Amino acid sequence: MNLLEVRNLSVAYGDVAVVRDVSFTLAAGRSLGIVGESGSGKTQTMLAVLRLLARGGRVTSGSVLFEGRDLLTLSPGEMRQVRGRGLAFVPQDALSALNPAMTVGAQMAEPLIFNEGMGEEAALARCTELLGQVGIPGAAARLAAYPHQLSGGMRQRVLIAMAIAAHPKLLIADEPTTALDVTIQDQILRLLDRLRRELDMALVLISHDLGVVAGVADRVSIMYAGRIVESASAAEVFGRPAHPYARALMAAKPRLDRPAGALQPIAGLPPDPAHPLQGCAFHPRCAFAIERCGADTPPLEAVAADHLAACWRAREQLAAATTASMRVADAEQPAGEIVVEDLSVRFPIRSGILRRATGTVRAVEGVSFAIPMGKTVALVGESGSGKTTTGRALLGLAPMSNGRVSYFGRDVAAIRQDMPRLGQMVFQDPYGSLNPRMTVGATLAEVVSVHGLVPRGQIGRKVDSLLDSVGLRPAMARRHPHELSGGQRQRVAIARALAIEPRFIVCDEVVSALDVSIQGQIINLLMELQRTRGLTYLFISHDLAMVRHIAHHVVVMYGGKVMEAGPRDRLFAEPRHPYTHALLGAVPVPDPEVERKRTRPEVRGETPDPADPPPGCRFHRSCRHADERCRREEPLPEAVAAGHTVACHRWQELAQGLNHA
Amino acid sequence: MIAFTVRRLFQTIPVVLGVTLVTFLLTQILPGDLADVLLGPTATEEARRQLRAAMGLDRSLVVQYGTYMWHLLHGDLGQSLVFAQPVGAVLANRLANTAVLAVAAIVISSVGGIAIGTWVALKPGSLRDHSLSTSVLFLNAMPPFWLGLILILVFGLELRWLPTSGMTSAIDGGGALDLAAHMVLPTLTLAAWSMAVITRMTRSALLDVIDGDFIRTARSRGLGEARIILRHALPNALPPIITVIGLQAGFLLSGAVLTETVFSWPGIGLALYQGIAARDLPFIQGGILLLALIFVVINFAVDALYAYVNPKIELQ
Repeated sequence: MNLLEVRNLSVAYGDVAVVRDVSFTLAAGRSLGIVGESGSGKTQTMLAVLRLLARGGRVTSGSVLFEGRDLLTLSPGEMRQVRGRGLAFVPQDALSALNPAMTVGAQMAEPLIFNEGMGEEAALARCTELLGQVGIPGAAARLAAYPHQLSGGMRQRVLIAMAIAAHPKLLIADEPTTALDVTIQDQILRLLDRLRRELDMALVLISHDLGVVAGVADRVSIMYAGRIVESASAAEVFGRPAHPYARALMAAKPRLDRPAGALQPIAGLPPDPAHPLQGCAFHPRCAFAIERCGADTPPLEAVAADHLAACWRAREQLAAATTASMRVADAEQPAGEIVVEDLSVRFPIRSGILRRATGTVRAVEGVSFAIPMGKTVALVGESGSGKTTTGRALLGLAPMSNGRVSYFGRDVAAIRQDMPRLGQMVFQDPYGSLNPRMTVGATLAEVVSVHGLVPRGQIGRKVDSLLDSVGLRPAMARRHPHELSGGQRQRVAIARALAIEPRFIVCDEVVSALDVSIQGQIINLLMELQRTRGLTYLFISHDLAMVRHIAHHVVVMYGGKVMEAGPRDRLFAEPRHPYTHALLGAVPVPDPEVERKRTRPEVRGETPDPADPPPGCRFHRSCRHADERCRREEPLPEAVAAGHTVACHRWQELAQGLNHA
Repeated sequence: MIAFTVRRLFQTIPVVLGVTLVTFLLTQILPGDLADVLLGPTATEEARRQLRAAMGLDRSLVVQYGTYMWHLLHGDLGQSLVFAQPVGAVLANRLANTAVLAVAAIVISSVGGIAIGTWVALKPGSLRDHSLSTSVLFLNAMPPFWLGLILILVFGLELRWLPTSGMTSAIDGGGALDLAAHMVLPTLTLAAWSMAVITRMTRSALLDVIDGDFIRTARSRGLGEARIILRHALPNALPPIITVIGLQAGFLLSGAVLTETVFSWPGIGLALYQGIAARDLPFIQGGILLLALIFVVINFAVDALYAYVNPKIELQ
């Protein structure tokens, strides 16, 4: 018997249908990955199963059989019995999912005491055991802590521990790794997989990231516009995707195990659920659409053994594969470079009544690198590595405690007034960085007129040409930021940076807030602008696969220091630093075959506290290869080859072992 | 939390100094001075000058403020003209009467407001929500003296259930029952407006919290609805509610002047009304200083409570 059987489930908020006619089954102890972009209905489907839809949401049809009982017909009291014991839920965004005003221990113990009838001491003992099970050491101290006192990875572990407390049969994890650094994401995914096997639970893993799902799920369902468009074993979905959307999604996502080239983004935008399309919802973006696709909705039906797809042309698709690849022509090289020498940024920690400095946060320590004009240098690292602070310092936006930044030989301090014209910044969150009360046109016109770049009468034309250069129609000038999609907003942010024609742009996590199909569009836009305008980029990112597509040189930072730097191809092929190696190993690959065989050099623990950096090598506490010298003495950068440097005492001994471990 | 409380305590010092400065300047801003009040309109210019010199009113402002502060630090608020007693003694006498009324009003309005606000927030958009929210708005729009007069008309004069005045003293008056009977109408008058404000704040604060992710987490773990509301939602909605309750304290002090006057309640408010009517400058000065200090103390208490309710404040 199936543990969970969802039949023809539809969910609507008001008149807007967000889940349409979704059916799937899940056997006890197995795992299902549900993949889709934001608004695809993946989370709403599982919230409907849990009967935890937000206010205004309701199930309009269908049934949810869990162990043979229809959950949708249970009384609220009966449903409470099922939650926690039958179905458990691991939400995304671990900070807001925990009660900020209660200690971790009090929250964890609550259902044990009130639902399972445990005594207070027995419940606390169980909590300690659970924290051990999810890999949190020093449980007693953690139980007394409030959620904001824990790190992001630790909070996610607490949520998982809470979910498994009452031995559930099915664990539903909603984007459990979205806000986490890549090495922590890897730890959490392994933890979920291990717990599933040890506790014999079934697992539903909801994610927008094909790579995350590939290593963990037996079966994969891909959702688009509220429907499942493809469903099969993980090997089938990744090996022989039948639906054009599934295919396009895989082509849009850069992979570390494939050669770098231009990405193939999916044209257009995901559909607006408030204005459903006739026929297949994907047809306006589909390269294979025929007339019928715009008229009738294709049913989800078998296209091969145990392989379902909802596409009129799925069978043909399955037969023919191959997608053409493009290459971007090299840009003409402007001369000169931006040089960063021995840069340090420290912030005082103030505390006490008199706000005296009681300590120092060493955000960036002794960082040196150079960006040749017209090239892209990627700054890679996890949160707390100092990469964003470095980027800000380059534009004179962070206080430099030491070191020098020079543009073509001129010190940045001396050319402060010219700074906006030399360098601009584009931020991660285009919504937060655009004024919500100004139209796109007004935002751009403001920048143009403040800098007096064109005569007053020509501002309108300049705005139009800026919009055109980032691939937006002139009509967009009349819109407000909230009327734009995430990708369009990021295009406006790029247009604003371009408005004063800078030669250098710092891109701070510019795509990480966007859907996968849109990320590729923005990356391609940036590469196109580099080619046509000879722009220089500092590309700050935690996404190594993305970095490999756009960067010429890569600088890897950890705990405020440079661990390794070198040309892209060398660094990705032959990483010399154990941290670089671990970072590359932690990136999931959207291919179950590769994913299962992948050796993962695990990183232990978390990034060091910048207010209290460890002695010796910053990475030694998390490094598997650390010895006595690493704990005492700080390694200096050494040249491995031309332009490739590494800061590790043991790189030579490890050179052989690392790449074959 | 202790560090936060101590720091907050230090921050009240400049506020208190500011308050004394304002109450001192009050006598300078109001037309006419103490000599005019004491001697009346028929006195000669020479008599006024002599009295001013005798009281030090012809000295510079700085010296006068210094003298005022010096007396203040010795607990000397001056002599009241209307009550023919030291200002401090009059205020001390009447403080208890006002406190009884204000404390009862704040307790009733907080408990009632939070309870009604929570009950309403459980079903937003329902008939219960609409009818109660409308009545609350109605209460909110009613001036307290007017509500007091209506209550007197209905319960005092028509139904004759409750006394409308004749209160003597909360401490050595006619005993607990007599006190309670006298208290009902003025307390209700005073509490009504605050309760309306607290109800509305509770409703909106709770609605903000109740759709939060951690509430969904609690539900996903099979916790009961009552527990989710009382243990998870309400504590997280408390900070803005506490702020509003603290602000009500300020309103209650000014409301006391009106309410006590309407019900002839022998508290600070009524005394202040009489003092103002008679231009009793020392008493006005002392009364306002006392009310301002009470307000500062309550706000300090609210901030300390805030730190207790919200564990994150500790870090800042």
